Amino acid sequence: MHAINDTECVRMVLRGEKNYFAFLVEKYGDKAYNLCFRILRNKEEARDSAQEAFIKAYEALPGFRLDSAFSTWFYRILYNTCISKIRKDRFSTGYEPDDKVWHDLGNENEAISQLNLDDMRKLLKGAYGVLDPDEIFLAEQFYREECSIEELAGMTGLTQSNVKVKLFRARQKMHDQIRSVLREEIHVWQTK
Amino acid sequence: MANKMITEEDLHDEFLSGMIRSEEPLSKPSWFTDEIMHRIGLIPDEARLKPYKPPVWLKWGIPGSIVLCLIGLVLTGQAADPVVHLPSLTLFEKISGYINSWFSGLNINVNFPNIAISETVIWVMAGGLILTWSFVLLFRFLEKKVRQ
Repeated sequence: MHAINDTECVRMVLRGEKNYFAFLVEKYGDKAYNLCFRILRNKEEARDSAQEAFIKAYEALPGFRLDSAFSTWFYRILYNTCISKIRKDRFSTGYEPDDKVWHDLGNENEAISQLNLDDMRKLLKGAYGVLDPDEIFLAEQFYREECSIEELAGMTGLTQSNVKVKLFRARQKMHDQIRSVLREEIHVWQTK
Repeated sequence: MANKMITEEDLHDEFLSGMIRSEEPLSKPSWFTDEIMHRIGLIPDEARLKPYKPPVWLKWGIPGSIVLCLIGLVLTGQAADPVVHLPSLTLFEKISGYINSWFSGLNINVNFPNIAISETVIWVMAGGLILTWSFVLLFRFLEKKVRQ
């Protein structure tokens, strides 16, 4: 299959060429899977939710407006799929986010400057543990994918000011969590 | 901080960006796409969602039946009392007068200004209006939702 853009691909699928949808799955599959994994924190659930989002997108494709970006539209479906999955789980099994903190660092300032990749990943795990699912989605899209506030509003259906407030809170929560982990570790280190 | 004061630049954070990007992205399983395409292949084409369009009979039927009821009410209504003298005419009565004189050519008498409308009829009409608008708004909502 030659390289085609998303809009052409959607047009082909709407004409009945289902196979063109594979191009979109290949293009957005990794990102979708990763986003679901960050939000749901479970590989199997992430895979299932990402697949479900693609199938929902396929089913709803006739309603997609070709003048807008497929990615924004698709991420909105993905976002809603993850959020409703969490709501369903919370209702049936009492879902609680895994907010285990991480205790591996020494001095706060020193630690930040000496963080290696592995440390960063562990810190991130702890920081994500205190965020709500929608905040994780926003943080991932803003800090990793460099999406704009406008794009995030389109993806989530929130207003731009709401997105900014949520991101601001998420950022504060992550910093607070990182600081508390570092302070705790400094205290443990000093009492040794 | 008030949300209007938060700018996009305020939210940029090199440390957080670095930390989030430090995590290597996972790769989707190799069979991920094939499984989706297999499941898509099982979906019959007619099962795919299409933007909801109300059937023509429903779209025009509801307002049409209300208009017909109103016309029926106007034409068949019984006059409460024959009006002998109207000292002052309201705008509504004047309009009805014009309509009456127009219908007089067709030999139809419109009794609307003199009609005694019971409370039940008013409630039924109000209910009809509420139902109509509920349908209209529901259609719009469904259409919007499907488009999302």
